[in-house]
Amino acid sequence: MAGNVSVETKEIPADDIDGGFVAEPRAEVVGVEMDGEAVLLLEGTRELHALNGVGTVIWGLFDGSSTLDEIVADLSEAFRADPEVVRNDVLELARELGRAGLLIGVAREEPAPVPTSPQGLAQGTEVPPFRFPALDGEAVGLEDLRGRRFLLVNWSPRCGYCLRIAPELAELEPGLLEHDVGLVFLTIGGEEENRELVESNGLHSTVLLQDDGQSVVFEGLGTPAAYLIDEAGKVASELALGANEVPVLARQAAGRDGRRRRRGKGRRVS
Amino acid sequence: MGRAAVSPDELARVRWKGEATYRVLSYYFGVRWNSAPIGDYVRSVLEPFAVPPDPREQRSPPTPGTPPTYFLVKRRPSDDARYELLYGDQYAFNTMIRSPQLANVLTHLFWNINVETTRRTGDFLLVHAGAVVTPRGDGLLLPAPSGSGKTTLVAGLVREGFFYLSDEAGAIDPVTGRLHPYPKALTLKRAPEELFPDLVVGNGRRDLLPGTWLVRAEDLRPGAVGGPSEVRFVVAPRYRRGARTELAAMSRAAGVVELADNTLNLPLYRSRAVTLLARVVARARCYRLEYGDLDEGVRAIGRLTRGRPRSIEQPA
Repeated sequence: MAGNVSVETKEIPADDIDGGFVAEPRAEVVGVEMDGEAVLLLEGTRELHALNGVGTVIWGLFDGSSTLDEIVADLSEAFRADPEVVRNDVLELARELGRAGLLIGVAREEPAPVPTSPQGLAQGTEVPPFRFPALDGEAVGLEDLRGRRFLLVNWSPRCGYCLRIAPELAELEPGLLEHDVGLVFLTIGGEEENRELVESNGLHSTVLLQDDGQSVVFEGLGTPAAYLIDEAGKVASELALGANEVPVLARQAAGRDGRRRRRGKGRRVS
Repeated sequence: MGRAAVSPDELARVRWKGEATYRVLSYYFGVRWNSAPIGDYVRSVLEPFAVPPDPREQRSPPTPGTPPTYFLVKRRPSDDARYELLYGDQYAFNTMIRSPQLANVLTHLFWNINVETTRRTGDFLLVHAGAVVTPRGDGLLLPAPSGSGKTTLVAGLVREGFFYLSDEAGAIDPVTGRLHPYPKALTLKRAPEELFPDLVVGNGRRDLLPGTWLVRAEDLRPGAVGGPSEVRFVVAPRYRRGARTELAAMSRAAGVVELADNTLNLPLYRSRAVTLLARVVARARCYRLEYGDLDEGVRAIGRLTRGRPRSIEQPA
């Protein structure tokens, strides 16, 4: 099936790649090899793919003329390896790279949710407890916020990126409210500077002043960063990091199109 | 960003107390102020980038290449928004921010300079990284996203005799592959004397930006700014409270991915970035560093870079 596909006219799903497929890199793929390991970049994207030694050898055999079964036979003989093991490796790599849009004739797929760097808390994780004073002086903790979904944002009035996205978050507040999603800022800095920032941008959400540096929720992460937290106080989204990703997560939570979100940093394969 | 425009007449009535011109990598701009203490502070922070002003540049209409100017305006105490930052030239400009807090305005100024520097700098590949030169003269890149503790680690290294290039971006010359200085003031989130009890920083107006400490490398250690150097080490740092210090080797291919993931102007360089980074990393050794204590992190890097054999293999 896949081996007979006309690569000029129709692209196949990566999962349809089989032993008869003839793999050939797209012209837009740029690769460098270092110490027997390749790094590949699809021109026009930020997605990088690092191949280990075995993956690099296989990649080098994707010449546009040999079928995957022929490559498997050559490799099994050259390395005296079990053909079934080699076949699995070759098929897996071809499918991965096909999904990433690196092979002619294979439909590129949107990258799966990627481990961002740094990764932050996994979805489903209980949010570490916190309790900080709000701008009105009243202490608010995680237990007070349970029972309703909310966007928890790591924030700083001294961060230019936070200043940049503040108007957009303010614009999204009504939509979040409509979808019963709260917005909570975990911020650093003093009461006055935080109050000035939210008021000047028309934000009405809860601002919690972290009195002792960063809370464990966002430890090691910069600002802005955000998670969607579910009714049970568990992480319900990937970590959104930076001035591009945080508004996208907010838009999605507010029921808006999140397409402006940048694509992830690329999966590592092999 | 642009809010209500101020009329040229209003700006013309401001009695300026000083101005200066700067070049940060490829970004050429001026700053003008009407308050001497604010001006002194700006001068001290941007001092490494000062260039002589050219009075012929300020002409009407502005000629191509005329540097944009930041106007820092302090108003009467009765004004609700006492401080204002405008941007443009003396004939066409916009308000960037108005605030009763000077700190907000200064934060915005330094942030915008940083953003514009990244946006306008095509002469160098910019990697989001700390950058230093070891006492032996080897370039060391510390690629990491914001919040990874880059600045603090760089400050610790500088105190230990490393030479400062940047706490924000490693600037790589695409022709020579060498690492160049971008010696902006280090942006510390803790008072420098808390991190380094023996340090006396002579910056007189630190109260202007409470909670943020913009510290010049020269204040950390006189003569600390380094020059262009070959990249011999790539160390991706991660600070995690309570973590044991651990330095683990990674392949050069992984080093290229680490640097490319943190390249700020990748869309500008596109695929050339990968080949350039491969050329740079081919002469370097690559590691990941996790640490939970600044002194231990600094010591780990010190041991690593002292132990490097001088005869490193050349790229094929």
